Amino acid sequence: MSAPKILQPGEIEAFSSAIPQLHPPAADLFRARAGRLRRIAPDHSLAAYLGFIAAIADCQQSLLEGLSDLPEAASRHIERRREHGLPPLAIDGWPRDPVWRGLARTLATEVAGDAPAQAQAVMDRIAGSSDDWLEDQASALLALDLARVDIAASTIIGAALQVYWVRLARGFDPTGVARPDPPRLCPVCGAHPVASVVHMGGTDDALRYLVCSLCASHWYLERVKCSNCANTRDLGYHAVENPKSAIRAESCPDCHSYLKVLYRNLLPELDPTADDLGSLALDWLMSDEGYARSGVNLMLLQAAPAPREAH
Amino acid sequence: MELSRRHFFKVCAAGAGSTSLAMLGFSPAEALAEVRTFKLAHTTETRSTCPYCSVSCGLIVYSLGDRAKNARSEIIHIEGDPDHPVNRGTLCPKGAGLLDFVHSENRLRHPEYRAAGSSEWQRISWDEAFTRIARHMKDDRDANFIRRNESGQTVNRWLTTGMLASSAASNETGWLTVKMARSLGIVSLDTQARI
Repeated sequence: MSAPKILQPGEIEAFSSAIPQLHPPAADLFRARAGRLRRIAPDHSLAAYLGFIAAIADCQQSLLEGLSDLPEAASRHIERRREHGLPPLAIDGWPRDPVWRGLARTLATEVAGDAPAQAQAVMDRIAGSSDDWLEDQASALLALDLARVDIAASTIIGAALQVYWVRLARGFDPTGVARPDPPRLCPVCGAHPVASVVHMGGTDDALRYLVCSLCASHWYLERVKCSNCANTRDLGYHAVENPKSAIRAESCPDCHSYLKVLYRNLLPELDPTADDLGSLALDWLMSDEGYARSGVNLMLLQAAPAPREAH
Repeated sequence: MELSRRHFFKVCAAGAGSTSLAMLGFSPAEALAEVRTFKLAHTTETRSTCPYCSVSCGLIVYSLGDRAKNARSEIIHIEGDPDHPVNRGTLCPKGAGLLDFVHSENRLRHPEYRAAGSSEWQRISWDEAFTRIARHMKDDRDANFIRRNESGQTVNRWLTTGMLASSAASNETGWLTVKMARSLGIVSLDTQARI
């Protein structure tokens, strides 16, 4: 619901060009996330938690900048996946570089000072963890096998995996990546979206992109379309209190799922991960309405409900 | 990797205690208390086509309400459809004013008729309107229909009436328009299907 767009001379050419299908993650992704979290935290009912995630994001940014080029060991594997139209940097099927385990341990040590007393044991556990345990937790987390995931440790392990995959996605040539069909998984790494964002300015003005929860790539999806089942009929848009809010949940009457849409053309500083956390109230209200969440935010996971016992 | 796998999450207030947030020692209590005072607002986004000209720009129409049967829905915003290949989100000044056109007090809401020589419009029913249009068409066609040309060839032309169809019509509507108009012999037909 932006103001009518008035094109200036020279701008009309931009709109005659093809729609950009994929944007790799930005170099200052985590810094922007931390900044946004700190702006929304002060008046927020989850202020302490948002501040902690901001501290994690700061640490993620410095780790990302410190990561040198990763070995090209898997390039043949990447090319083969690309040929077959599969996500080239897929979350499984090839060994993760051990460097990510160092990232996880460093993160746990660095942010321990910002964590509540209760979290100290969790941070110590990650900092002193074995390689096997970390790899097992990473595999469970990436597969979203929540019964196996150590939920308390998932935030730090997820944050380390994000740094590693953002580094991979930034050092990777995105040309020729297949358009995902159905569009619900990241075309680069195959992970789930955290939310979708309506861009502002340039050739992608007002276009909607899904944002990867892992590698933070943005991939194009038409507006008014269910990101889960591709239905285009009778989609609902739900917001907390204000129907013109810049954060809305796009719900599908067919598959009863929803994904948030962040309208950057209404509020340019919206950050997918930060504002998804900041709008947790919307998730709770959507859950009351019977909708299931299709977005994944590695910074906030909820344990899988215990299997119901047979009577 | 299995591409079809799908995970849904019940991120519900009732399970807030089992989140990574709570397990790290942060309290969701204040947020949980706050959410009880919040209401969910429902809107709808619908794709449409601008009715003004043959460019047929794509639109997204925003309305209040969730289209539930008894709920009143109200159009609150209209903007260019950024995905539409014709206009990529842009609109001309007329298209940009569509919301005022929708809510205009001067908008025509029912058929009206102004008798020849009169300055007054009078409201008529749809049945009356269709009957009048059919009568005029029939009279004009009976008077001016050309069955054969000068060299005696069958042409079945009706040149004294033309038809302008809607720019927002779909392919199927365009097909029906052509079938109807051509079967009557109408030559001057503009379906506005130029782009």
